[in-house]
Amino acid sequence: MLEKIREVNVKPWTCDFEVVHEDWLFKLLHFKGERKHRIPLLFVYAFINRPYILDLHEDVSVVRKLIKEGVDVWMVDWGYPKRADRFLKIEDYIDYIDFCVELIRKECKVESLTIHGYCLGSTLATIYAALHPEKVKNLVIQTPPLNFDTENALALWAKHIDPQRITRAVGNVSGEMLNIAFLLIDPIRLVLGKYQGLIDNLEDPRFLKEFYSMDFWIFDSPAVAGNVFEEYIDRWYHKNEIMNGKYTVGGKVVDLNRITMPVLALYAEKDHITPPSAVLPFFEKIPSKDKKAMSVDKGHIGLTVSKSSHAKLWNEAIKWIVERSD
Amino acid sequence: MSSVIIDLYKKLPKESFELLIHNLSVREYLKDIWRYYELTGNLEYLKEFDGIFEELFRFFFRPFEIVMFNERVIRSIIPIQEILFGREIVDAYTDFLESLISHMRLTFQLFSEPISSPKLPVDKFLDDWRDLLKKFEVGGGILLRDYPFALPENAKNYLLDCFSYWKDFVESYESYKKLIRNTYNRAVEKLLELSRSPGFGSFEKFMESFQDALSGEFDSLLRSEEYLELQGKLMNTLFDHIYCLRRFLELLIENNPASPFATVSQIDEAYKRILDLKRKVSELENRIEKLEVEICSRKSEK
Repeated sequence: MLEKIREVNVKPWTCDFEVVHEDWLFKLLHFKGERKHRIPLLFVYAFINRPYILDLHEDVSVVRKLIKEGVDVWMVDWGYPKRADRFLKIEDYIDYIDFCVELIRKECKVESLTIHGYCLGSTLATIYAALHPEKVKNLVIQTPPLNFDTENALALWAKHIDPQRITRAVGNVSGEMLNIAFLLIDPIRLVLGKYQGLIDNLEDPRFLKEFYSMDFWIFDSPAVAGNVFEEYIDRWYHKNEIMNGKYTVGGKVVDLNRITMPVLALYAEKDHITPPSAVLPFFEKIPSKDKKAMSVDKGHIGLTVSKSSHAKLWNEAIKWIVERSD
Repeated sequence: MSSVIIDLYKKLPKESFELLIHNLSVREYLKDIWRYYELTGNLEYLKEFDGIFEELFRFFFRPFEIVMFNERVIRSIIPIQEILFGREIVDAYTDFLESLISHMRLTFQLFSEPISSPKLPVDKFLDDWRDLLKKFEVGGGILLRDYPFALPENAKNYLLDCFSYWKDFVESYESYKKLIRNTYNRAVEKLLELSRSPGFGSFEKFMESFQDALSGEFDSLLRSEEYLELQGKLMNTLFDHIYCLRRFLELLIENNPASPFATVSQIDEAYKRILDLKRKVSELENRIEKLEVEICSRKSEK
């Protein structure tokens, strides 16, 4: 009864890309395609999990859709932090985004570009946009944790842990630890229900391919560098510094009043990681006059990979991006 | 079948493989319960519910298990898991500590001199030291009773704290497991009530009802103050225990002139300095680039 799983062939990435820069851990990827619009787009993914969720397979590839519309797509890959990276800071991530933006500006001969953040990548993208608004033509934030003062289980757990005691013991927080923690936020559905559903579909090759495309991605988790984990939990979850206007990068305050560029917020109604309350207060707060929020009745990952999201939300979202890319 | 399982073990992400295998066991238990219900038209607490609990509970303990053991190594040796229930992990780790204690004790006995006079202050101190260490006895083993002065720097404090945190961790773990078990029992109780009225029309309906009952109870549990407090205590005591044990061992190595090994803390310090230097180099590069642009624009103005 398990034989068909053996035949499943999962390969991440469906679009061709070139690695145009490497900086020890971080990489900048450039996707191949015909550029029909002037403004390029840079994906900033989270430092948890891997960015190929945006190009998981042909049917649900956001990258493929953008390339098809003639958008020049670039992406930051944050890599797999090792012990040697334990002292990285969030500031280093912001600096690398700036390095990539400068490189793309020169390469594409543009003043500014579209930055598309996903999950914690949205947090990084927003911080960057507030620090360098002149370089950000449009800001797209997908399932973004920006207001960390929420009541979902993940936020409650994060508020009750002491990150320094964890990192001084283990250095980086391993992908395995994070994976299981994320499973236990919604254990009955993710540990029991999901796999009982798999058992009911062991003879369906299409189901198996989609299931394992997701599962391979879910468990391909990089560690989070120790210092980054401390900042993430302490300054974002415990103190909610971004929303409170107290977050600083390299001595500069991240002022949300500087988010005046067009903003598209994509969120999921059933998101148990970044619920709507993690984005809507931010969305209300920013002064941008051209802003739009779109949602789907899905979960955190379903927004990106479900066929119904692609049939509706993604067509509209990409139209929004394309309309602002010339 | 077994060769398929090995192939899947090789092919799938380890967590995905394990979740599949355990869920297959859960499915077997559920089928047995369903058969009983079909046969008798009644449902009561069967031993299969205990089996399901054990399959489920391991995931609640797993974050701690991952930290305590190098799980990948264990799994590469034993592909199909039949061990490592929560209690066994605690026991296994206690065994490890006991063996460490035994090793240390024997090592220091080799160097210790016979104590000459019981009246000397140093002997009084040694008696007190032994009494203190008795509090941290782990299964009869006592560490460094005989030669406390051999420990370098703060090693003694790290060692005592290490045992103290472990004791607190084990106590919290027992409460944690009890809390999870009680929650599970409440969910099963709800399921048993449902079986009496209105009952389940099919196996699918029975499964759905079971999952709904569990979801309801566990959703409340995971957001409750009691759970959050206990989980926080478990994490703090475990990570503090790990830190203190590591620092104790590091100090033994760092203070041994014959040791050829650098410790993690020493290597961390080197990593930190390298990263700081990298940031400074990057900042200097940026400054040079700006200066070059400025010089070029001045030249072009002339």
